[in-house]
Amino acid sequence: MLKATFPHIGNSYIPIRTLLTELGLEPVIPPPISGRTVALGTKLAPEFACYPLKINLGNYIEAIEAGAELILMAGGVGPCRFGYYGEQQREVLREAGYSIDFLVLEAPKTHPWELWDKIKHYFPRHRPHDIINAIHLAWLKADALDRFDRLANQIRPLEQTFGATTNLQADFYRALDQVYLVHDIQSTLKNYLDALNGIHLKLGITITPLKILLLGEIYMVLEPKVNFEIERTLGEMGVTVERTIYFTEWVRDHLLFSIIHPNWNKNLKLMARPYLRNFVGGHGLETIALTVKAGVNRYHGVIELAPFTCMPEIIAMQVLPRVSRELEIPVLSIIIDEHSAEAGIDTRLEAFIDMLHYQSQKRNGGKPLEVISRY
Amino acid sequence: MKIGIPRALLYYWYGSIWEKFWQDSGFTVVTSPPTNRQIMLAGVETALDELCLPVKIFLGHVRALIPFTDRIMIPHLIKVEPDAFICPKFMGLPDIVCHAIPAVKDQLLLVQVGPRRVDMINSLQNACRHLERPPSSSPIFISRSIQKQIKKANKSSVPESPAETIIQALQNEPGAKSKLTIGLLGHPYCLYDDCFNLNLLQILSDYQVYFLTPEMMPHQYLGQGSGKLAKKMFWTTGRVQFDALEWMLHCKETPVDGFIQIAPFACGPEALVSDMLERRIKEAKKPCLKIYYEEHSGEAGVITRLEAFLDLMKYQNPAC
Repeated sequence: MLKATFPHIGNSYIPIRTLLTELGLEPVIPPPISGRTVALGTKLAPEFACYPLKINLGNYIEAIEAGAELILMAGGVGPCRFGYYGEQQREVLREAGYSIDFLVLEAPKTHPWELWDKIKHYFPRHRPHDIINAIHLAWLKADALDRFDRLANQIRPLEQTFGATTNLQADFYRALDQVYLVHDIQSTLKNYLDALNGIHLKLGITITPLKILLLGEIYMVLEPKVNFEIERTLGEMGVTVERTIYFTEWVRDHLLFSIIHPNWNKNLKLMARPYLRNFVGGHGLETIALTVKAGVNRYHGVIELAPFTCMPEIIAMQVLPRVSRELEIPVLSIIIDEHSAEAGIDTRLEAFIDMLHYQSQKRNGGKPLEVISRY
Repeated sequence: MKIGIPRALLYYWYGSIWEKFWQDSGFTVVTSPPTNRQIMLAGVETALDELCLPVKIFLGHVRALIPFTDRIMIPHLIKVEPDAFICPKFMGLPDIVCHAIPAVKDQLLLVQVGPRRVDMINSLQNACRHLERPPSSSPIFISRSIQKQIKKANKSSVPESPAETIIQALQNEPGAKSKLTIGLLGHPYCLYDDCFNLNLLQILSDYQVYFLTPEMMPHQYLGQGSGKLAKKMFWTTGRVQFDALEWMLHCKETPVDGFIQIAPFACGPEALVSDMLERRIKEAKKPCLKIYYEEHSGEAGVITRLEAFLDLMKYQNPAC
């Protein structure tokens, strides 16, 4: 069987593994992102390329070492640099002496089956029945992951035993990765959701914890190894984190809605309109729109994550101070690259959360609040 | 009414068309002076740190124009050719200006090109429609006259772009004393802004070097180099550089001895484009010097590197 690999993005390796297996390939999952991955990628990538490109390269190399023969990568049409990652990475790998098939999945231009005709011969099992089955299973898994993560972010700040949610999450990922039947996926999800709901919560807490919206560039938001597990860190500080980007939603919006319902992001555009008048690539517009949403819905704060030199997020950063001022929503922008360190991020997060506590205390009429963070 | 045009970003391509259009429509045009240290610093202190230097310089020019003009033209260039963007920062430029310099909000005159119609004259005409203009002029008529001139493709009747003017002022004879020819690759606002690139063109000119820039490329080469890419590039400035590289490598009259790549620090598209260009230059076995500029760049550092590079090329070139 052909050994195929793909770059990491969050927990998407679980559904993608299923997808590739069902299509008759042998998936080689790159080892989890580590210091070595970053070092390998940074060495080969152009200096000012954005961080995800470097990590992808590291992933490829570690996967090639593990025996991968084919790399699958998504393409795009710009203006964000992500659309050109594939070509760039192909050249870099060739120059570094790795001879490997590199397949960039581009959105079809003329007719919907163009892409499929091009890549069909890579997949041994490509009858319509197989494809539907593969996509169905992968979607179920992706959906299960997102549902679990959503609930976990709600439970984590209130858990009694430190780390209970995080441990359960890791168990769930492992269990889900090993089941391959629709029924098993559903029952695994149900069991683990029950377990998650059964986690002992702190009693006697009358106030709601701080609620923070996490947004920004998709890779930085989705990949916990790169954002220093920001969701966990915040959750353990007693903060409810609401992530704005989920893998299933992204696929639904960008691969399905953008074709059958071109105006799917009308609401986002309207929300961002007073501050940013048009699409600027990547998640720039979403960042502004969702900050507006957070401000209107009285969230306590917003955290924006971006890789260093990310163009759309830089534009958003220039605009955000005014959104923040006018809608009275505190915003923390965090830029991450290979030189970022966990301690630095943690310090900033702690300071930000402290500030939010003081602010909500002030809003509460100066009454001391029961602070449920752990430090 | 006085209309201000910032001498920054793609002014170096379209500046003379903009000036001619507004002048012919009966407005007084005030173009900001060539970038100087003061303008650059004004931009740097206004802008977000993360922005690239050319955008900061643009903001500096806008600030320099505020006291002298009624309206300031902000080119909102989403696309200047049908299937390519320029850079996300050009797409967000009006918002960057609005939020960095709130005082300028009422003075803005947006000229939006793209995303559907990419005709510059048409966009200027649309922008003109909303202005109170002198009764003697009709923008439709004017645009037609300019369009005709451009369609004729008779170079002498189309206003010469600011880039071409700068090249003419500084260019040496091919095969002059030093017998070196250098290909310069970079965005127009990096190559022709002498405050940005610390007088690079002037220095090359003083060293009697003949240089080629993407803007000197004959039209038949458009689309040749970028057409060879496995995937169509979606940045106009990137495409132009690939075409220019193709031309420079195959130019018979003035064979290029080496390349200098110029880019702003942390430029998004250039991070990928310049790396791919460099690979092609290496494949052609030509020497290549890559210089990144930012607001802290010092002239001495650039000159030293440039001199060393030119010396090396002289040693390599038996004709010198």
